[in-house]
Amino acid sequence: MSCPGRFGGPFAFRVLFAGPGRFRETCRMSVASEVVTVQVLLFARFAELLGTERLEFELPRPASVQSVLDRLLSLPGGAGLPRRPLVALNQVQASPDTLLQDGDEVAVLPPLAGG
Amino acid sequence: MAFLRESPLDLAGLIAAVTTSERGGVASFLGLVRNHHAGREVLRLEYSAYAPMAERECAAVLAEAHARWPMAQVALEHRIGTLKIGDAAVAVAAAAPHRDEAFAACRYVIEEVKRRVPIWKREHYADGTVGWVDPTAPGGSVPARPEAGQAS
Repeated sequence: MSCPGRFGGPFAFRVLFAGPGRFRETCRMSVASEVVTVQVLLFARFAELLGTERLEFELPRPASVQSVLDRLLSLPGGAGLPRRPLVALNQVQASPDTLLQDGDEVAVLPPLAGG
Repeated sequence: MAFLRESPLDLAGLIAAVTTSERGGVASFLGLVRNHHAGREVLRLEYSAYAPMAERECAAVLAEAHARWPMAQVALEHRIGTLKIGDAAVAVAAAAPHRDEAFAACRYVIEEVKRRVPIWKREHYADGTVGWVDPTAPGGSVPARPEAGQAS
């Protein structure tokens, strides 16, 4: 995992002098304070619209499901998405205001058509 | 158990899996690929899924059915991939001591599968166009376009 800003933040001193175990922890804390990295999955017609089935977004914290939708709408093809699609967060349906954590999987689901 | 299958569904196998000597009522449902949709001739269908969530939702639906009808046992399979006209897309078998619970549990499972399991289908029409089935759209699908223009 990348660690932007690891030498520029308030934990830089501990990074340099606390050994490798401490380094990993400090790195995580520094990233957690700035951005959330999430996997975005697209299916069926939505994957066609955006031209891909998988994206990785780094979003400023705090980030919500709505942050992902806003970013998608700004991408080429994204204007064809509905304003409030079904969304699953880590395989469970979630509302737009649900907050995201690092490593979350956000799936944007076209109208279901099973059966 | 895997509920999504890429090979033909086996309703007889599902019935055998839920039937015991205490369960005298068996109800089943088979959903087949139709040759028409919204007035257009359909040649074949492609089913795709968000597989991990679909498996999870199918398991949840069966657990709910079991909670509502504790004496019933229900089995379920849904096909994904390319299906031709007449192929079974979904199969449900419910067995219970009596028919009321068997019918009710079978109906519950198919309705919940259609309502919440993340599966999609793309229709290929006789006129060479394709369209995504959208049960929430007025015509039942998004406007079709030439098949040559589709993403793979």
